[in-house]
Amino acid sequence: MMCMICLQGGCSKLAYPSDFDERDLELLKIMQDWFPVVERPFEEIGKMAGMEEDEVIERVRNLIERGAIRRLAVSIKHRNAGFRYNAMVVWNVDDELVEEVGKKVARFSEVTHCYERPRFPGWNYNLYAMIHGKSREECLEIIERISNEIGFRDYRIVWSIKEYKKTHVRI
Amino acid sequence: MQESYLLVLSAVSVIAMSVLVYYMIKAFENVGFTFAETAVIVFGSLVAYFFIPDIHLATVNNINFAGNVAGFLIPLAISLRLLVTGRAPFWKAVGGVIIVAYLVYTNSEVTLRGVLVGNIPSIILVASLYSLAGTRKHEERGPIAYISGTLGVILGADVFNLTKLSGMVPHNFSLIIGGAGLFDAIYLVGLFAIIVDISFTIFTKIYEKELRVMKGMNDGKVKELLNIAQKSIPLETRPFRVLGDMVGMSEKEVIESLRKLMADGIIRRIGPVLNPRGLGYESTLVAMKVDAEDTDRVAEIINMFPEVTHNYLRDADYNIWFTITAESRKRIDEILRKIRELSGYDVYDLPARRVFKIGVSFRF
Repeated sequence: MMCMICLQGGCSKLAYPSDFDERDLELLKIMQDWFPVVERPFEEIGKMAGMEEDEVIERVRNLIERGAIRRLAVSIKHRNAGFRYNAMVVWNVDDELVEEVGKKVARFSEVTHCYERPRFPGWNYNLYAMIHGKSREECLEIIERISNEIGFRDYRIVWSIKEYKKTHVRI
Repeated sequence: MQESYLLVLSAVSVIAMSVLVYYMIKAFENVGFTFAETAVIVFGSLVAYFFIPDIHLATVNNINFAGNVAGFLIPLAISLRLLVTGRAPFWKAVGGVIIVAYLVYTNSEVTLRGVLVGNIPSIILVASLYSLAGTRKHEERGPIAYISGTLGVILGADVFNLTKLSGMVPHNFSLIIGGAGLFDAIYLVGLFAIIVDISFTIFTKIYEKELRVMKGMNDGKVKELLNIAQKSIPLETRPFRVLGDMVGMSEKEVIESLRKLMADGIIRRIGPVLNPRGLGYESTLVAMKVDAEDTDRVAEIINMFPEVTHNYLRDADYNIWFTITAESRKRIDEILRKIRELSGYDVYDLPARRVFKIGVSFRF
């Protein structure tokens, strides 16, 4: 069996879900860098991986069901698509209400990520949301709507000034 | 020590010059000039201007006619070559020559030092605009502009003023056509007409690309396609046909739209979005408070680790925020320890306690 990280057999350094096999890994390794935009993409991937088209589709379906893949989809370069403004908003929410409030925030389509995280010195905030918008004003308007909806007004907006790195998770 | 420094400096300059020359040749090629013609127009003229004396052509009515190589003979030879090889449609070129010649003639003043041509920028612009309006093929633009500019000035300034000139000058006067060499209207109008054409061609290419992007984004069906495809690509043998059925496009249109959006940089990638938790990975968000002048250095240290997936400079006193996704909690601690050591700043490790939403999907 092969290690999920170094892709070698006999590696001791990590636990991988036991129901993956080498064929799954091979498939993921191919697909994380290449998805042909042609009539029958899975057939092409199959040729690369030495599998039948049906097997590729079945394995991908399985990987999604088992939670190894979140989704098979298109990813947008949001800066080029007009979503130039990226705000991280942090709220100070009562600990016992975080569950309820977090779910409310997550329902806004403009929110792409929402987490509860620990507070730390000089930073008394525990609910984080990532918001992307086409203008500063659009972001501010969304943040105002969210804050009104959840009823917590102790918040801070942290804009991104510079993107130092943005990649996807790879194996 | 001094010598090796000079060596590096000259190597760098040579490389920089080569790159410049390469792009210049490409640009000239784009509006219809061969490598050899570009070399002669730009470098041949330069050499001729400094090293080759004027050439005596003829003596008529006691006036000696001579030609400057850079200012007359090279432009004339290149124009005739372009005409003869048919790279500028003959009648279009003739039309341009007549227009420019008329404009030059009305703007010229005959003096004993020769013919002075005024309003050179407008003349350049006319030659260039004529070529841009006269043809849609970019490889014909340069030749038309160059012939119109060069032959137009020769006719309008020198030939049309010949009678006036011969009545004015004393016996044995030497008239040098293109006498100012690189600074003569003949050379300048031809060269700058090409340069205006090149600028226009580059500008329209960029503009056309933007227009295509905007048109793609404004197409309601394409927006809908993007909204759906960000959520999932159907696990079917013909996924793009299924997507097309959902938004009312043909399979071919879907494939073409997606390819275009990738080429235009709207789509980052298509493929599986891995779930680190589902793969047994751990992740966290980290905040740092770094001195403003130190942020780029610290960001470089952070980015060294392939496990760092996002890293942003943000406008708060905690100004650097990055995420780590690694095989284990132990590996995250190790990365954080190294970043702390190498940067000299403290790190605040903020692993998620609860996840309410992860699903980057942008509504178009």
